[in-house]
Amino acid sequence: MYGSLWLAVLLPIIFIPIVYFLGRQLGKRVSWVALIPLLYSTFYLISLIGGITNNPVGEYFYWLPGIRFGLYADSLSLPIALTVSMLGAVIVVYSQTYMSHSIHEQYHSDNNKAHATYYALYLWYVASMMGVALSTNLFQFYLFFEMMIIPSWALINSYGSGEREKIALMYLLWSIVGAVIFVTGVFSAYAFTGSFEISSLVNLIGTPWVGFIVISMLVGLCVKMALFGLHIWLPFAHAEAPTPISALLSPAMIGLAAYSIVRMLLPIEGVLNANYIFTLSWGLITMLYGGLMVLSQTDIKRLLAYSSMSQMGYIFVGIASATTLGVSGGIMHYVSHGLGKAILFLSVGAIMHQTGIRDIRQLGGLAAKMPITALSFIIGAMNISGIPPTLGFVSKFLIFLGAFGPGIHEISTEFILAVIAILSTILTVGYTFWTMRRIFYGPLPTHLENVKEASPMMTVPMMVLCLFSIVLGIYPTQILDPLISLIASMFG
Amino acid sequence: MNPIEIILEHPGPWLAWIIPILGAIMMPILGKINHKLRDYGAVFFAFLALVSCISMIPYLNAEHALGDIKLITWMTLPNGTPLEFGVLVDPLSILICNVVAFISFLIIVYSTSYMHGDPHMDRYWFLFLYFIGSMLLLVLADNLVMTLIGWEGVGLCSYGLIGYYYRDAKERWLGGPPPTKMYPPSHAGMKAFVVTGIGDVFILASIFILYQYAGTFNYAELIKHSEEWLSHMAAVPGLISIMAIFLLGGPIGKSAQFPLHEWLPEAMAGPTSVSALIHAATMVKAGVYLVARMSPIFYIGTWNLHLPEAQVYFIAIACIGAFTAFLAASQALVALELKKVLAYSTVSQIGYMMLGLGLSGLSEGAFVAGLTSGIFHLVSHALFKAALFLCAGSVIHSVETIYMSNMGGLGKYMPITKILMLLSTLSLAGIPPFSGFWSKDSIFIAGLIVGTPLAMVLYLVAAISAALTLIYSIRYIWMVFYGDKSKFIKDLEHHGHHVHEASKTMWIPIAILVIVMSGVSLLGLVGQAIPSLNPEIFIEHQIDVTLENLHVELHPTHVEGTTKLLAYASSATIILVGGIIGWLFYWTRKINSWEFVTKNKILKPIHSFLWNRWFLNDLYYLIFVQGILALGKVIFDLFEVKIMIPISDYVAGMSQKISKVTYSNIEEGIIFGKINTSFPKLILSVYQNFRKTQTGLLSINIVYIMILFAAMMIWMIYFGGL
Repeated sequence: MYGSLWLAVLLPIIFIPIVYFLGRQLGKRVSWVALIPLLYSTFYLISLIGGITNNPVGEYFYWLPGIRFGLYADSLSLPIALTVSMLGAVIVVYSQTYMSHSIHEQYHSDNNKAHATYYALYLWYVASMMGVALSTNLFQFYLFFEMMIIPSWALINSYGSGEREKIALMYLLWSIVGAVIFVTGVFSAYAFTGSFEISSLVNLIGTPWVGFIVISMLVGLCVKMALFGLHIWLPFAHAEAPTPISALLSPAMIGLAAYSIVRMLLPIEGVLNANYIFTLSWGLITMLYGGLMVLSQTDIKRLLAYSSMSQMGYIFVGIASATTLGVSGGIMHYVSHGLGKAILFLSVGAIMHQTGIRDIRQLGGLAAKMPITALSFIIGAMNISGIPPTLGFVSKFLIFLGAFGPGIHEISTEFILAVIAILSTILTVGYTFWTMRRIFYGPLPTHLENVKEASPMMTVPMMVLCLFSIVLGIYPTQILDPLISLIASMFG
Repeated sequence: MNPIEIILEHPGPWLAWIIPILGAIMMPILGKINHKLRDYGAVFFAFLALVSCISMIPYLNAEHALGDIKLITWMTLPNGTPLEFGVLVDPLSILICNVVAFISFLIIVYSTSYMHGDPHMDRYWFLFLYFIGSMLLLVLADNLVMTLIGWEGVGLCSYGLIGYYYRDAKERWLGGPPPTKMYPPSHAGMKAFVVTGIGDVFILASIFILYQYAGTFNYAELIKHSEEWLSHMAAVPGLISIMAIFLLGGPIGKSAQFPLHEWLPEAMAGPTSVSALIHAATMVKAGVYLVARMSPIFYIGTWNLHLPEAQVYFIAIACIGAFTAFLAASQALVALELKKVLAYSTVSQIGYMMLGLGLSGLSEGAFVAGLTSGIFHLVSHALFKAALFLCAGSVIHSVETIYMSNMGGLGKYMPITKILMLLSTLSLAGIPPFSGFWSKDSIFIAGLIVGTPLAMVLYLVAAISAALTLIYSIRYIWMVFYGDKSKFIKDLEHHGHHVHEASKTMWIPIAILVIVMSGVSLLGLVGQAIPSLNPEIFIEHQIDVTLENLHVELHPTHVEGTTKLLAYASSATIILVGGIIGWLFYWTRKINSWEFVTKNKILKPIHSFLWNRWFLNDLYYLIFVQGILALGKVIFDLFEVKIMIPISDYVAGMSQKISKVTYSNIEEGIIFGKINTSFPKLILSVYQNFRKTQTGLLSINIVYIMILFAAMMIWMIYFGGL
């Protein structure tokens, strides 16, 4: 397919003004226009899959003398960028019906300007996320990272629910503080290596400040990843963002931090693996804490938000193991959680759209009324609980297979932590299937008797994601094999 | 060769599970076209699966043995070994998959009538066919990962089918009668899924440990290289025991053994056809199959490498099996729901199979005898228990109640069902010459071959449980078919509902099962004189061939004639003791069992103990449901809400206030022309607001994060060796 990575990232940005001005005329139908660049990016990235093992794609140019910006797709960044663009393309279709309803509720009229702004911000957001995934330069990464925070803040601020302004501000603050800590590390690294290239971070090995740099970058990224202690913004932001945006925020954006850790910090040998007990415990606590918090939620979106936190714990456990399998599993879990959690958010969105209820105690028996939504929900649930034939099984399997790698040669603390980690995955199975039961099974309450299935504009995107997660679950080889061999080469 | 060519070369083992899965996907599509077409389609797909399995029978012959066939590379592991998707066609898998496909086919025929008129048959057929496909995949897979895929697939179908009546209408609830707690079907499905899921995470942990040493998931390779990797593993004391116990976790969950047995009684909330296939004949045997599949590794560890830790595998499963056999049989004595009695009985009988498999490793010479007994009992139990459940389904279909106390005297109205159920019950109770007798006997013989004190204790427990089996068998047969009509039946007839015999499509599949079961029984009898016809010797031969193909070195001991006689003698004693008690209490009704129990000070608490399922169910709910929910709530209320959220809330609230203040001062100040008049004031206000920003925005947030940051630094410096 003709094209380039720059075009894949830039085309959505080029479309921002087009979408905005057309949107003022077309209203909600402008989502079809917004779909064009996203489809282009998705198909272009898909076309790269075949040859990615032997021919990673890199495109570079000089921004300032000495500072080279570039986009680089190899078997590590491609799955991430592809997940982002694919979710972006699918969710933009879903947004049409959902947002028209919520904009109508907000403005009491079909406010075309609100539609136009929404899709413009949406494109901005998705393009920056792709940029983050493909960046080769730390400074460029930081720019895209900030560019990603701003539209997401604006989207929560103007289209969210509840105390949206306050929550959006809180989200912005946390994100920026995280970014600032991260950038401290970046500049310190520059002081030592004299370069902003991600690939030159390896040269830090042996320098006296390597610990400080790694930790500041790690903490900065972990704010975004909402690990335990840094997670407070997440349940608020994800619960109150408009649902299509939650479906992007929750799996795709926070997971980017995990990808960045793999891309930037893992090659700096000896730092993560030396602190295996600490990092693994942090991941484990996040898993357990998020899972326990899910159990006491009554708001269906907050429930999913805490579940995302718990899933980030999974990914972090995989990365923390610093083994080829664990890290590959973590990256695969980005993809599978991306698909699974997006499906869950979209089906929950469909329920909110059709019933107007988001309190789980008032829901029940909906499987009879909304069978397609129920089916998608269960496939999403299977994905995040790691049940075959979904991709979640593959990623969960790899993460914990990797987590057993270090410390297997004696009954050590590492070993015990790994055992606890795998045993605590039962919590995920428990809460997803309990939620399934509370929403979809049991007798139908009288106030839900007239509920109808959501329109195809909402159910088709969900089914597309379900199909992807099952196809990839049955045959992950095309993505997984190159990924494993790349990660293996990173560990030498 | 490309995958298609590989499949075409030996289609049987591939099509056996591919066809039902494709059929499952077809069901909703066919359902859109025509309901009849869909129903016949389901039967047809199950039939094709059966044909594929039968086509594998020639491979039993050693000359045409197939062994491990690999199809595609699923993923390449970092050590360079590919994880390949393949099938292992050896006598063990051929035997089991034929049993599965045969019973599945009969039950799918039964379902067409039993489920007739149900409005959601698309879903039923989808799950049913997907189940058959996953189960056959589980059995045929050549490595642990593929087995796990099938394993989770059957679990998922079991979840969907237990909770099939997800609307939880009152008449579908299980348990009771009040004041005993009742559970809705959707709860039962979820419970089954989560409880078996606990077993699954254990087996995953075990596979992960195993992989770190063995570097492969393939059964044949695991067994072939077991001496090598087991001796590496033995260098870490305790690791083999942990691996073995965790590995057993999966089978314990799936096959409903103590301590994960509590899901199976509730699993009866599904349609009876489902209980018969999934929760009696096939899925619950997956655990038995896996234990048998993995046992050569531990046998080699125990007897070739002389690692005492490897024997933990056999000791644990033997003890668990024997204990579960007793535990469940004791509960079946008091249960009132017909299907629940059968469910307890299933748990108990699987306990026997596990005991047989466990005994196989307790002495060097008992391996083949133990495995044979476990697998033989699996086959014979699959036949008679499926038939029993289907009969129970016919009865429940006809009288519309789940409680045996509401039945009684049905023999007159349902003569065919009565005869079929009676024959299967004789087999369950272990009355010679029925198949259950021969298979249970082979477990006793395995126990006697081992002959260690532990084996003798287990033998005793098994014998007592066998007597209990006979007693509860007499009890339920009498309560359903004999005696007087209950008040419930009379009321039913009063309302114009007549108890009727099951339809042909329902009793013919049962009759076929019973005929096959009787055939096995007869062969068992004839086989005493002509060994070549003996089903036990046939299975023993298959196990021998299987182990030979896997290059397992065996040291069989010859079974003495006296051992057999001893086993027969104990069976006779069991039948005598159990029979007399059962006869007195439940047949002649000379002693009114209810009065006898309630008046007796010792028996009454025992009855309540058994009725409440040894209080295990309540205990589990208390710890794992209420306990964990409460923990989540406490942490949420006390930590998240009281500590974490206020910190963040304060920060956000402050910064919002700042922005508002700034807005009203700067924006309005500038716009409304206050610049001239209040310039100094503005400077002051900007300064003040900026100062607020300092305290509010940055310090709190950053201090908070910095504390964490500092803690990490300290940690890493002290413990990480930076």
